[in-house]
Amino acid sequence: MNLRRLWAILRKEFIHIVRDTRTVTIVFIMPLIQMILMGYTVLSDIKNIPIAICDLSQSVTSRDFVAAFRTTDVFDIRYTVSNEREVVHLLDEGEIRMGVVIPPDYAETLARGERVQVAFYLDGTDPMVGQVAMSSAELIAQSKSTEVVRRSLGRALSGGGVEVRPRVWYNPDLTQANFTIPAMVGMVMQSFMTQLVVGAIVREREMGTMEQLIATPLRGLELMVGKITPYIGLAGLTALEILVAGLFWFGVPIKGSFLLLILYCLFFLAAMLGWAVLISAVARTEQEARMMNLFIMLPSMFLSGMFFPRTSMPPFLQAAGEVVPLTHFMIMIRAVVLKGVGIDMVVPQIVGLTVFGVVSMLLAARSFRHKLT
Amino acid sequence: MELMTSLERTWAIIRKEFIHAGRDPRTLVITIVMPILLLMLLGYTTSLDIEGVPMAIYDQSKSAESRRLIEAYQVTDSFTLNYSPQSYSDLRRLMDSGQIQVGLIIPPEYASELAAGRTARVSCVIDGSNPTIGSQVLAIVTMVGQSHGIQIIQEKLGVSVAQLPGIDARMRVWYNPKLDNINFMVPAIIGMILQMTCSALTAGAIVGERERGTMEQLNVTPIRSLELIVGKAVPYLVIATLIGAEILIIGVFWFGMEIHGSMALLIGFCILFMLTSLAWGLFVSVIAKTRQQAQMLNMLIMLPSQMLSGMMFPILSLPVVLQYLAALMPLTYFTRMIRGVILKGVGLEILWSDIGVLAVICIVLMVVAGARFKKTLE
Repeated sequence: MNLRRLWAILRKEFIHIVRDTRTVTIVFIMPLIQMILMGYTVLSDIKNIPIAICDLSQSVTSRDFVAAFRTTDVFDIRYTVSNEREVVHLLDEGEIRMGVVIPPDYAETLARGERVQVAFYLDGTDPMVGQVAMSSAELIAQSKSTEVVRRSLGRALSGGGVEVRPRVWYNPDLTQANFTIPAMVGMVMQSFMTQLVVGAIVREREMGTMEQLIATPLRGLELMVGKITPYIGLAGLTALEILVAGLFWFGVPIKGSFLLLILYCLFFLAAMLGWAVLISAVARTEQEARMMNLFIMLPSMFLSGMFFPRTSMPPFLQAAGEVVPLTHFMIMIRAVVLKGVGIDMVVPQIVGLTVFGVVSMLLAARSFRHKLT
Repeated sequence: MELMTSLERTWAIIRKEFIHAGRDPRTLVITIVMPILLLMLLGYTTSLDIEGVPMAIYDQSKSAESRRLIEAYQVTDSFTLNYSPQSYSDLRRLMDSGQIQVGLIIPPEYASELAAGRTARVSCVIDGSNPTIGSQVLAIVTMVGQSHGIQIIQEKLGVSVAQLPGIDARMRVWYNPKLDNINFMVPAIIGMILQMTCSALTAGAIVGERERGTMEQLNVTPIRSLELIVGKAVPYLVIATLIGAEILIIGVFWFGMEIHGSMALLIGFCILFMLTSLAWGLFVSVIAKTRQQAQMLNMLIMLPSQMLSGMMFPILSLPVVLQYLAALMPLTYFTRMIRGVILKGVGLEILWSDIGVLAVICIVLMVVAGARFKKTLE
């Protein structure tokens, strides 16, 4: 490798970047827009689910039950209606996601020491909201039940039973942003990194200037390193921007060391580099490369456990997730941001990313050399 | 006669456009395969069911009573009991490395407390990194403990569950009784794909013509601008329709989704939405000079509409500014319409306002784009 030749191509590439102000602006502004949009949508907490209460009992006991729904911030009582038909109508219109119907004999039945049935009508169209509403409603009903049992048996037995005291670690308020923002950082980094590298290499080929470069005394390796380095720098800057903007804008606390966080990000970028070069070696046009990038991005997003838990996936998809670099990065970044644990906890992930990086780099180098000669 | 020649000219453009599309088989394959891939991924990876969440129990009591409690957790499908750590720091380590997501700590005095008729306190730690999972795990863990407690009380008093007072939550899930995510996703993918195909491909086709300089050649032919627009749009409308049908068929026959409302209404909604997306595509093609610009402009509406419309992500509350933005997006109205007709089975009596707004957006875009389009041609 000759440093002078390498420097020449480096300079050429920097000039390209500076001249192409539009791409540079896009690179710096797009991730921000993406982060902020996602911040308010993907990351929005499932809270204040609009519900309607139809209390046919209108008793002290039933009002006590309703109060439990008022005190939790999972639900937001938007409507208080007087018959079941209105609940149905509100659900059809999409005004509420759940309706609670307390039967007329609610208080009497409980007073008699019998079981009473409270009906919950749940809008299942959005399963994510549905799941949360369902488990929260069930928990409220059960807690009230236990209270009732305790009260009625109180004289016979003071206390007794089992009390579970849950404590939530890492994200005690169960804030959605704390979960999704670190994930987004990984996703946006991967997608922009690939786009940039692909743009640099494929565009040259598309414009037909690749042949000219090959005709110069430049070696293949010099060409590759020279062309890619400036974009790694750019991608690194973008990554830092995403990281800082995302974490600060949405107020995600970083429990672990910031240095370690940066280190993980750079490591991830390095591991993804081979992948980006591989795509640009295979794709013939920029459009095609972008399509391929998208084609890879989508499965990685879903398989990596970015939004949805991997434990609920069928086993073969769990296995497929192991191959996706984003899966490992996700665990690493969450370990440092949310859990604040050290590097010793993510050794398997680091090994996985290294293997991926080395293998894809080797493949990329092979197909790139093949293309050049 | 006049009409016949006009139709002939339009047909010529349509054929030309189909040939163009056919020459680029890679893009065509991707447009057709992409929806299948999306459906399969979303269908199998987006489950939020709490199943087999890895759990550890640190049993300090080691008594018959504590083993019964452990059993109560084992019989639920929600957790898989993988580890029995022997110290608190072991448990912490398992959580920190992500090997478990729930840890139960049974105190040494568990059995003696129960024997004394007091409430035995069990502590439990939950990994809250994923709030959706965390909140559900929290509910399940608490409920299992509570019902076990009630069972202990019952045994002591010699009564059965039915004799005890209490509240039964009778859950009736409507529209999507099994909370199947695929039923949520199929309409979403249809909306996304229709929008993408209709606006992006149409804009690309028209702007590409201008970029290559062949627009002038078309201008010197006897083709009128309306014929050109129709001719350019029809092939992509056909492709979009086919893909939409493909998604719907996979959804219904592979994933067993049910369509509750009227099929005619569904098709009508899709046509209205496709026309609106098409109008946006035309609008873009009037403004953009290069295909890259057209792509950027399309992304400008595609990304926010996918995020804000409630199509992919549950949106319970948005900041006011974003609410206005969402109100401008055609996808917002289409989302309500298609979910309404497919999942809820409701009809015009509820959806009329959404249809009205979408129609207005469609007409405005058409008129604006149409007027400007003529000018750019001349």
